[in-house]
Amino acid sequence: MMHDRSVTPGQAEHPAPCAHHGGALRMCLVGPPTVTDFEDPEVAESEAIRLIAEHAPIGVLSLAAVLEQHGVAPQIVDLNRLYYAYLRAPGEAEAKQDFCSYVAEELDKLTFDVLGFSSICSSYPLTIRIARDMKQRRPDVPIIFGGPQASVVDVPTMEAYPFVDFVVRGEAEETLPALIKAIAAGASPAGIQGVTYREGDRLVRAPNAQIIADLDAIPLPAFHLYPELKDCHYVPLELGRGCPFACTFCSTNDFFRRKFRLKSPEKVIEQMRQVRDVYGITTFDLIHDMFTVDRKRVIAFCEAVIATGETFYWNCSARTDCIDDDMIATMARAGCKAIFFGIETGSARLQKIVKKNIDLNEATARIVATDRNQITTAVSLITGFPDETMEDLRDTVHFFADSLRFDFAEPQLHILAPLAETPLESHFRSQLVFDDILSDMSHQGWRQDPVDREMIQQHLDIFPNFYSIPTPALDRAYLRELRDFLLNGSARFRWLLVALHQDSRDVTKSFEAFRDWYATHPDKGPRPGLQESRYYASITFRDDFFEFVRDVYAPRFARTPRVLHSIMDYERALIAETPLPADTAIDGHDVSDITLVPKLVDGVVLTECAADYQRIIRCLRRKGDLRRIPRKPATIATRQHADKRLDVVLLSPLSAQLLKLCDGERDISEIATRLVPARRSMADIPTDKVCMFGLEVLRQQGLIALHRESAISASQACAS
Amino acid sequence: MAAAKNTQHKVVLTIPDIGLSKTQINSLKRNFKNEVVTHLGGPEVLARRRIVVVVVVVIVFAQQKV
Repeated sequence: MMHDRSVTPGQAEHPAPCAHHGGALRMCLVGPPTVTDFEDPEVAESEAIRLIAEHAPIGVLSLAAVLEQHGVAPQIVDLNRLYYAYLRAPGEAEAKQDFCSYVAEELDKLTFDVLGFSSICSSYPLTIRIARDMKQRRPDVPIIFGGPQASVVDVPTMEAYPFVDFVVRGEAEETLPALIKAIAAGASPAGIQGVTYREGDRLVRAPNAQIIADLDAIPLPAFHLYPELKDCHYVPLELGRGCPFACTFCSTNDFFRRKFRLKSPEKVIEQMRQVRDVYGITTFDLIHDMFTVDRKRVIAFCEAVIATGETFYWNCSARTDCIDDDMIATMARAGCKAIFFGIETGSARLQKIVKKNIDLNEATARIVATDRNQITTAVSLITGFPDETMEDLRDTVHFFADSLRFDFAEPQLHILAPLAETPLESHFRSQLVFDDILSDMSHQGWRQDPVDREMIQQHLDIFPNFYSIPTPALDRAYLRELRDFLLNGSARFRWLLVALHQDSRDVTKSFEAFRDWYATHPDKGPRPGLQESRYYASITFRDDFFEFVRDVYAPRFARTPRVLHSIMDYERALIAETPLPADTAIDGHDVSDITLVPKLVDGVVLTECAADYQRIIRCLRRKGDLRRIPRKPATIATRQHADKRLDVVLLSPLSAQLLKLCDGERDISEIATRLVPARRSMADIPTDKVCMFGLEVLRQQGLIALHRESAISASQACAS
Repeated sequence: MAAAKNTQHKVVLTIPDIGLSKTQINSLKRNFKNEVVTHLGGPEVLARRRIVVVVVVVIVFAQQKV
């Protein structure tokens, strides 16, 4: 390992901070970025990324509240916010300084005596680079690292990066104030549990600190130091800590240990009320790795919330074997709107190997229950386990595709990241490879920052999550592409993917057939020079895939080609970019004036489908026999609204016939002569009245407008 | 499944009196019953999300024009 000695350590011993002028010691706490170095503003500005980045930095805000109790004056820097400020700053991307220098410049404008960085694995290289820059600017300011990543790689970090003066490991509510007190006094941190520090040339790793037993004693996070909260849609609040399970890939045990702890319902409700009363926010991300371990306490919490009669909405994490349908219903009544289920793998065999041990049938039943209770459910799956076979992978993909049948399920597929000091990472450390097939957990944008990349290559022991555990039975490039295909496919054409899965009984076959197809079509598939992930995130992928299904899959392989065509027809209509109507206001005329000329409103598009889309969807939801979907031609009209809403109007056959006659040339009397109302039930109604009635319905539904003259007359008048 | 249920929302249409009987109107209502499905959030969300609203057409007479 090469060690970075480019910066002389400023705090080899323990001098008191120079800027402590008799007042409260000032500590700047920097929250880790979840968004880093995206070069493409389009991606960084997407709603999904922005919502994640909106997550208030709860770790440093909690510590700030504790520090205030100890007479320290904290300030908060949220690198996600800073990143968006950087991204949105005027100027060409190429001309801008890099984000790391930008952050250092911003931090340099602040006044503080101690600088603390929280850390997560995905942005740890960036955190270290910023710390290095700050040490160069402020050599006398002690730098403290903490958080999940630094806690487990404290020693190699401090060995490699001498500008890191201290690492606070694990839960820091007691350790950090004690360390700050020692720093303020210029004393050695010897005796403070949970600190790794320098003593001369050697590193000292004090024993682990005790976990915080009474979580109710931790104050409300210092939201008053985070003015951006007013712009947030939701607020994270800690519900508890500690997961008693021992999954081999998970790092949470290292940080919060396995002792399950929960705040009291009274404390959580009190804090939710405080946030609501001050900031007007009633939606909460209630943070606990495994909230539902203790059924009685979950029910007690829900009943306490229900008993308030107040409206709070909240999200949480759970295991499918630690929750039941009654609990789910009670949670829904208490305001639960979203649950994260870590399913991890759809393979029963792998469930045992990775020690997750979830019963997959039970897991499906819980997803059905959350869907029934309208709780949005993240169904989190992982691929890339070292023992994973193609059969295991297919099981996982099947679980993913089956989950798509539930409206409220949002399946995720991740590539395994060997997180530092997890049982998996420890076992395979000597075999880790740096193959650029990164887990999304370590995703840094479309490409790795070259400076980060160099650091990662030099220090496997600090950044193992950027490496890969070899998968002898699986091609990792295949895994990455399959993941891109499934995630982007489910976002762009969810029901087509479900239908393909049902039609082929294995959606991976469709994926492989697509790869074979584009391999022989140079103008299709990932283009040279365009990164594969970027291709799958683009509209081009969707267009290529539709073409493949239409021209290749449906005629050659499909059992139910008509169903696939119908879904594509329908979904194509939904995604068609239609112009916004120029004027949808009712024009003051009505159909009793038969000289008026009806015309489709701008932005209304008609599409023919071979079968009833909604019946297909109902069939897919229950895994019914798609061959029983009858041929039933139908016409749909789509209509875009200014607020991005889209109406889809499934037209009755007579409405469709009438609408097609509204070509902007014929007046109502002429349309009436061409209309053929075939139904016997209308035999006694004069056709002109059928026509007038139908046109009025279509007009009031915003599909047609009535004009005084035909389009031809209007253009002639205009020309003359 | 609750999620698959559509929320129904009635919209009242008014038509001029064109001399139709109640039976004829009911027949026409059935034949021009268009199912309007409104999706929130634009096409991207639409492709993956449930139906939000179905508009049921109900027709009443407007006063005859003088």
